[in-house]
Amino acid sequence: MKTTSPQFLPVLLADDDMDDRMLFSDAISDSKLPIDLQLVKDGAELMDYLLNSAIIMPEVLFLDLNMPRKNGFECLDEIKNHPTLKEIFIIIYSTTESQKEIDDVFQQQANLFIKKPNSFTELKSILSHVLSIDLKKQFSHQTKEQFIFQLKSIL
Amino acid sequence: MAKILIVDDREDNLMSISSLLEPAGYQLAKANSGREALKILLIEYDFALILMDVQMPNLSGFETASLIYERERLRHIPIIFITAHRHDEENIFKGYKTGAVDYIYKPINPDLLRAKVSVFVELYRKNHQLIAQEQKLIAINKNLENEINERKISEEKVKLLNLQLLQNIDKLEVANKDLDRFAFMASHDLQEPLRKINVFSERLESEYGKRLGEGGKKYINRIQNATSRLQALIKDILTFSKISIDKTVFITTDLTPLVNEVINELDSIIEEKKATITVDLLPCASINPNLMRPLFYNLIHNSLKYSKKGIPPVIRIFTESGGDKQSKAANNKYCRIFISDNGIGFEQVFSEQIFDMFKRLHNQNEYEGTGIGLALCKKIVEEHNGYISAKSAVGEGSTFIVSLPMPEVEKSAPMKV
Repeated sequence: MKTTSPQFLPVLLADDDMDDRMLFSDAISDSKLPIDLQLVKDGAELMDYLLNSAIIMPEVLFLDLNMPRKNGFECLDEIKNHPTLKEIFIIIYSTTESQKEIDDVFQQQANLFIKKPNSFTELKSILSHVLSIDLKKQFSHQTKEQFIFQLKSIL
Repeated sequence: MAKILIVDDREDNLMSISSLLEPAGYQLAKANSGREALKILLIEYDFALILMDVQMPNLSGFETASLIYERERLRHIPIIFITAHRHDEENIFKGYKTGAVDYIYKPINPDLLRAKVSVFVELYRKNHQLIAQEQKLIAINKNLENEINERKISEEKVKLLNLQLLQNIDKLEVANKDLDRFAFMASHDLQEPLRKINVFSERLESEYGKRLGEGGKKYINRIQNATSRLQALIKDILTFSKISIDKTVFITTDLTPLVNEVINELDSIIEEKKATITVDLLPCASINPNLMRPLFYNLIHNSLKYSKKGIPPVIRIFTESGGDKQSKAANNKYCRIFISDNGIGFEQVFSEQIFDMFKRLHNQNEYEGTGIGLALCKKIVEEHNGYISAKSAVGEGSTFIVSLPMPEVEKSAPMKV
């Protein structure tokens, strides 16, 4: 396993939607934050990537829920039950409005839930905020209400 | 008329007995031998009584009697033997053995004969009455049995129809839920591309706006307006379809703080319109707060939206004021909440249509809206087993009335005036 270069935060996005991957990486570039972003296209590719010892282990994973081959719920379950992978900070990144799905991923110990925003400006504000703070400190042991990320409550 | 058979081998005896009985109006049949008597009894068997001489040539009275009683049909006819042997104990015993019921001794005492005959005829008559009554009873019983059977059959039919009805209701409910699930899935999937249109047109404007110029920016604005309208529409359809998908749980809730919370949410538009909203003390009702909030939100939002130009909206939310006892008793099962305003109102003829899906009374450019809000209100109220209605006239403001079933355990007079 490669060691993390000190100045770059390793971030991974797993999303089957090409547009969303593009918007996400554009937003990261625009933010000028020192981030090393990797992209995977579905759950199966995500697990293959994470279990490959040659990679830099991501510190933050943005995980879409609806994906082909292996969906976000299955990946979440595998990662959180893995001895080393469980340390990754997992942000569910989805359009779902189903309270049941949100409850489920909270139960499965996802760390944060971010609803895909309706505007690019909003996406940029969210990402530059979330990726510039110490996530593990800010969002540890949060309640179900705090689990759903609200940009308003931060600004 | 009672029939009597007289059997005697001597014509003069037959004559004298007949003449004694005829005045009483009996119908008499005469036989001058046992054989003759049996012959008559082959054809007729409805005799009330047989008077039988004991001493006859060939077949004696006893022999004739035992032959008669061999026949099932004749066994019930009483026989009075007429005999000269007053003290012949053996013969009397023989007679009783063959089934005779009485004796008359010669010489015949006319009064005794008439008396005995009338007793037996009376017995016969009563017997027949009893038999007739019994037959009637049997017939009535049979009718009753038939009626019971018919009732059982119709009960079965009702049960079957009920079952079919229940099955149909189940099927309808399933179909309704399927439809709502379809609406839910469809609107959810429609949201995705819309979000992209929004995001990319926003990026187009911010990154290439200068190159597009004012004209190009105007088109982008139109795209964005249309997109937000479509998004609002889809959001409303989603909310609408979710009502029946989600399981409704009712909690007895004080409506006053709930309505005040909703009003707080509408803060900015209230300020913008300089609206005055007064909320009376409202009752408690058994409701799902997650559904009741959007109900009041939509109704109050409508009152704010459809206000007269230049006139600040005045909205009042109140419950039925505790009038006389009679009207209280009549409305005991429901509490009624009124939302009244001084807005533009509408023609009363539309008071039912406005609750239909996509029904709008105004152009999109005059008043924004998806045409779902009131349909949503109606569905929410119906989900609570209540009903909603509206009273209005153009230019006179509108009043919406929400009727909700009272909570089952009702404390004495929790409602104030």
